[in-house]
Formats: sequence, structure tokens, C-alpha cells
Amino acid sequence: MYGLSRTLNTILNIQNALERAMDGRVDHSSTYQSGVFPPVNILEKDEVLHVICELPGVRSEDLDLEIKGRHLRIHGERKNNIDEHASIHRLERSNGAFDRTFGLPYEVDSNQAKASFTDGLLTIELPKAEAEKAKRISIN
Amino acid sequence: MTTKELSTEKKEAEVKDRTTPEKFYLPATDILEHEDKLVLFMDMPGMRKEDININVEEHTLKVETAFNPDRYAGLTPLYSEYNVGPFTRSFTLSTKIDRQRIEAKMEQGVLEIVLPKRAELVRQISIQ
Repeated sequence: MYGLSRTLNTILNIQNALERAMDGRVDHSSTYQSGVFPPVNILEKDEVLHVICELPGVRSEDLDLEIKGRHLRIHGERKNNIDEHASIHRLERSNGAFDRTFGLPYEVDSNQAKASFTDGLLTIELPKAEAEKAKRISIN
Repeated sequence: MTTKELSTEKKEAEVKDRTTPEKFYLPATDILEHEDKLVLFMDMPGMRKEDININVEEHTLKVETAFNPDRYAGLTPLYSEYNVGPFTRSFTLSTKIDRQRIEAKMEQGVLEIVLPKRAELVRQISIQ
């Protein structure tokens, strides 16, 4: 999975660089183009993974997170509540149920996992499992 | 974008002492029409109420946000599917919209803008 993600990411970066070169500051693209929902960024700080996920308008009670081994599953439903009496001029926002499972770069300690959800961004903090941490070897 | 706009933006950037190159993103938008109003929903994850600027100038409604990178301070990216940065989007307003009564609210990264139609245009005519 990681090999493929990296390839896709390279392509995305090339696309972005081209857009920047041609268009200057406003490129009229959305924050993500890969078509997956919800899109995630995985970052790291002090052996803690920060998985940040764009979920604007989703309520926390409609969201479920599961962790198993090196896999994280995010599933839930986005309910945009489109009024059926309204006439639609434009519908660009994604809507409905979603379910994503993705691999993490290393095993994490699921008991220490924390999640917060503010301003439409879900942040999951996953500390590296003790077994995965590098051990320092002292030289006698 | 005209040269004039570019130069004013450059001046603003200098005043705020920003050195990171910024690129604006287009927020995904739903537009719904009701009998008496138009409603816009814009996805702007990570933005707070105070980051957003909504402007009505002549026939243009412009939404622009600032970007606060604090959330990402000290984090090393490992894998990325979306970009972060400020949003901007402009819409042309119909003359039917009552500019004085435009309202907006921000909730969980979604900006909702209500554009009421001018009251004198929304009138049911009863048949005698």
C-alpha cells in the first residue's frame, strides 16, 4: 500500500508544482484531488503519529474509529441534510457513508491513542508501541 | 489577476511579516435555492470563525480565509493526501439578493451563508 501511495503522492506533487508554475497564487483547486474520502495526512512528532483527517460538517457521534495492529479504520456518515424542497444549483461537497482502512508506518499502542475533533478536522494521536521503539545498547 | 491586485497583496504580506509562500484553495460548495433565499455551504476544514473574511463589493461576494499553521507546528509529515492553506472563492450576486440581510455562520469547518431574496420580489399572488 505504501509503495502505491508514494507513487500517487509523487504524481500529486508534480501536478501541484505544474499548477503553481502556470497559475500563480490562486490555482482554483481543492485541497485534495485524489478522490478518496476522507483525505488524511499522517505526521509525526516524538514517536507519536498524528493522523489528521478532513471531515467538515461531520458530527462526532456519526464517526467511528478502530485500531487493529498496524491498521486504522475510520468509518461513519456525513449527513449534509440537503433540504428536499430546495432546488439545487451546485453540489460539490461529498455526502453519505464512508469507510476507510489504511496502514500505519509502525505498530502503535492503541491504549494510549487519543482523538480530538475540532473545526472539521479529526486528529488522532497514536504513540509508537513500546516493542517498536529502538533500544539503546550500552557499550561496556 | 491584475498587476494592481498582485501589488496590493504583496504589500499586505510584507506588513504581516509573512515569509511562507501561500496558495489559495477552492472550497467545495453546495448552493441551494429556496423560495425566499439562497443558501451556500462551503467546506473549509481547519478554519475558525475569526479566520474568515466575507466581503460584498458591487455584484461580487468574496470569501477569503487566513491560514494559521500552529496546528502543524513541530510535526514531520510522513504521508499526505490533502494540502493545507487559506481558502478563497468569489460568487457573482444576482440583483435579487438583499445585500443588507446576508448572514453567515461557521460550524465544524463548514461555512453557511444565507442570501435572502429582496422581500418585494418574494410575493405569492392569490388568484381571485
